[in-house]
Amino acid sequence: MDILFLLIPLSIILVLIIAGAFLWSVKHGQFDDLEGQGQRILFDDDAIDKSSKNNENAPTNDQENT
Amino acid sequence: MIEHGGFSRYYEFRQQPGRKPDSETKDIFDVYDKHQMQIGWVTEGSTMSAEILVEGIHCAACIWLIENWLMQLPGVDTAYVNLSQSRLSIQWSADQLKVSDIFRQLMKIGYGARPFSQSTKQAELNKQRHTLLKQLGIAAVFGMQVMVISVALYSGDWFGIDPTMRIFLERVNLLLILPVLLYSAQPFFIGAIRNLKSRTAGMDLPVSLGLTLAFLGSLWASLSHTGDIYYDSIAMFIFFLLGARYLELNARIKGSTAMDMLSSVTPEYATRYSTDKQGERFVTVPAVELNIDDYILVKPGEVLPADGILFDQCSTFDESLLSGEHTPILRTKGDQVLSGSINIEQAVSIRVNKQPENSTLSSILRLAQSSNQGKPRIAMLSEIVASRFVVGILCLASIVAIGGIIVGSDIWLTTTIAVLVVTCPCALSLATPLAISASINTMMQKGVFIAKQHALETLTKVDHVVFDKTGTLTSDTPKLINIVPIYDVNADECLCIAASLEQFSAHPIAKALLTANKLELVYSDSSKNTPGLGVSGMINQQEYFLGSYEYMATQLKQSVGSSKNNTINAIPNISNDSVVFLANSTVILAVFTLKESLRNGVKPLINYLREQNITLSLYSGDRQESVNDLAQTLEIKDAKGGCKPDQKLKYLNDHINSGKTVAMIGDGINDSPALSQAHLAIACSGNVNLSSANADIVLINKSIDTLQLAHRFANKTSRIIRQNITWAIIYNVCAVPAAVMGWVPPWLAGIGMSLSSVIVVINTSRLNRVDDVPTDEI
Repeated sequence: MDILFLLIPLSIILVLIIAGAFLWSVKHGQFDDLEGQGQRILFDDDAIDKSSKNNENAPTNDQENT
Repeated sequence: MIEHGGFSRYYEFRQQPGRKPDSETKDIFDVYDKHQMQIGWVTEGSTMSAEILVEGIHCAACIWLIENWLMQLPGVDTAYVNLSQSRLSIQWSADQLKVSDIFRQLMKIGYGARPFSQSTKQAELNKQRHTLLKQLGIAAVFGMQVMVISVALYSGDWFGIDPTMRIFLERVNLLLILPVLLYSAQPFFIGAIRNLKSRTAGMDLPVSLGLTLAFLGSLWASLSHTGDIYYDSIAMFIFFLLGARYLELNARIKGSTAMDMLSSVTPEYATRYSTDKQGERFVTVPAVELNIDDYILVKPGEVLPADGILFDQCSTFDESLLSGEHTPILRTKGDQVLSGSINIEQAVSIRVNKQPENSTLSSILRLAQSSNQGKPRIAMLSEIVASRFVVGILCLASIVAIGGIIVGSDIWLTTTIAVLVVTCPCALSLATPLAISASINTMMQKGVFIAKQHALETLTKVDHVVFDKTGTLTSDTPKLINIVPIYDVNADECLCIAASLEQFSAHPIAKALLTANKLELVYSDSSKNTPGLGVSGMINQQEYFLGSYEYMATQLKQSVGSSKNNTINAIPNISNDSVVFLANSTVILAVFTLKESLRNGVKPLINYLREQNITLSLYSGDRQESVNDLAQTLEIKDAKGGCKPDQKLKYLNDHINSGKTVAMIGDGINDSPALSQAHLAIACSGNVNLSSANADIVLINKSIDTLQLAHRFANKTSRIIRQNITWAIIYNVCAVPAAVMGWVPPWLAGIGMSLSSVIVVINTSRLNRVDDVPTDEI
């Protein structure tokens, strides 16, 4: 069971990483629109060529949050 | 036009009928190109970016349409719509596109737009939401880890554990609980300090006390290696309470968005007449810069930016924002015209005689706000119960602790903490917010927007309903019910001619004729408008007249007499309906009868309310006769016409003073003082409009009968809340004595508390379905 002395600290590091990722995503507006995203998957990206390219970096609405 | 651009797929996605685009392209948006109008929402540079609030977004199809439509414009880099906030973020290169172009394009595809400037209150709420979300997430992530290790410790209690490992796990747990306690639990501690300062007994006080005690106890236990640790209980407790608060806050944000809509009615710009070095001209200025004695130009279809005196001959004005009645009112030279009304017929100049901030509209808004403050708020049952409960628990816990110390019991700390934990009012505090937000979401899908949380509870208690007439029970535009051709002419062709004459008018009658017309419109030349009476125009070299009987009498003096008998006999019933005549240059060709039409679902709703023993009243700003007429059809006994906003307020207060719980259903801004005073304010509208701002409930659907659904659903919600609370009380009544006797170890107390919460959550999830609420009438 001595392995736990290694594994548990490792798990704490993992928790810290998860917490960091979560804080980052809140800060960058990932949770700002919980309704729209679910419906967005219904759109075809190929409807207009320009949009598929740009939609990937679409969430740019974080100016006022940061 | 949408189909032209290859956007016909919009119709596949959309879930609600869209808005009709405003036909005239306006140059009013040019004002947004000015630098001083861009402050706060446009970021300048070689790449410009702007935040725009788009009105009329309701589904995924709208996002798709707006984003793709804007993306195909030259120079646009990104366009991104946030559905929750109806906010468009757009970036484009400055040299290819002007700000006003974006507004024009949005207008073209049928969306209203205005700069996205949040009120301070709303920005504050959104900031709070972010912080709370972070705290909730941290509590979840670290709490989960604490639980994992606690399970290991508990099984160690049962099956034996190596002491070194035990100490190690306890230390790890201590480390993990610190961020939860120090960061996530901040709202409780801050609230508790505020409670102490103001000497009130809120929920935060016992919560913080419990947390502190449990933590110190555990700390002491893990340092001295005696007794139990309760880190898991602390983590779970914090997580559940934060979760409930997060749900509550989200509902509040939705409410305040509706409130913000209120400020959007008064136009932000005005066209002012000015003389300077460049000669006489009209300049567009922000409305707030208007002064008394300025002359302003108001084009047809524009909203008046300020109160003033009409300087030109005459025009008609739709004062529905102020009076609630949509029939345009004729104003002639020298008459007072009011801000917020819409100029219908022709461009007029107006001499401003009140500062915009003192205008009639502003004072009505102020009236609404002040009565809002005096609003009777029905405090939520569970909150009262929970806070008293908590005070009781605190007393009990201290008695147990003191008693334990006096008796000299070894387990006084364990027992005290067990009491605090097992009785934690989680289920109580969770029950109501959870049930309310679940049903708010479900109702939203059915077209009922619950703006304020108390609305659901109040709705179940309502025993008197006051209706407004126009826009609430009847629709804004009348319906064409009858065409009587006088001579040997085709009725459809007559209608087509009439509609063609009216095709550029915004008058309700014109709308009714245009809606009813099935043939293709023809061009009408040299049309002349006699406000309040009728229109004339040339169609295929033939002159036609359309208007009231008086209009006919003046236009074709000689022939009216001969056709009069025919005409009058042909009209089925003139009493309360509007009658419009169509004539060529010699004789009257046809008679159109228009009638106010009932909105969808009015009758089922009235019948349902009667079945529930709810009494009804009808107060309207419209004429007494037409109010009586409607009241008779719907068998409403208490009907009053010609009511001004303050009279409505007075009548409503009479009902309130007689001890009734009153709901008011209205649509115009003239209803908003009364709406604010009513126990329950229900605004009904196709789009979000003025009165929605003060409303507790907004009926978004066209059918007013959704209120019936809301009422049934509110009853169901309140039933489930009661079940939840009953369960929580039974649980506590059983658990507390056991804990006091020291029979419950804290770990069992923790499990019991969570289980009790889980049961509440499962019971509440029944509210996510509306299946068992009968919906067949809708």
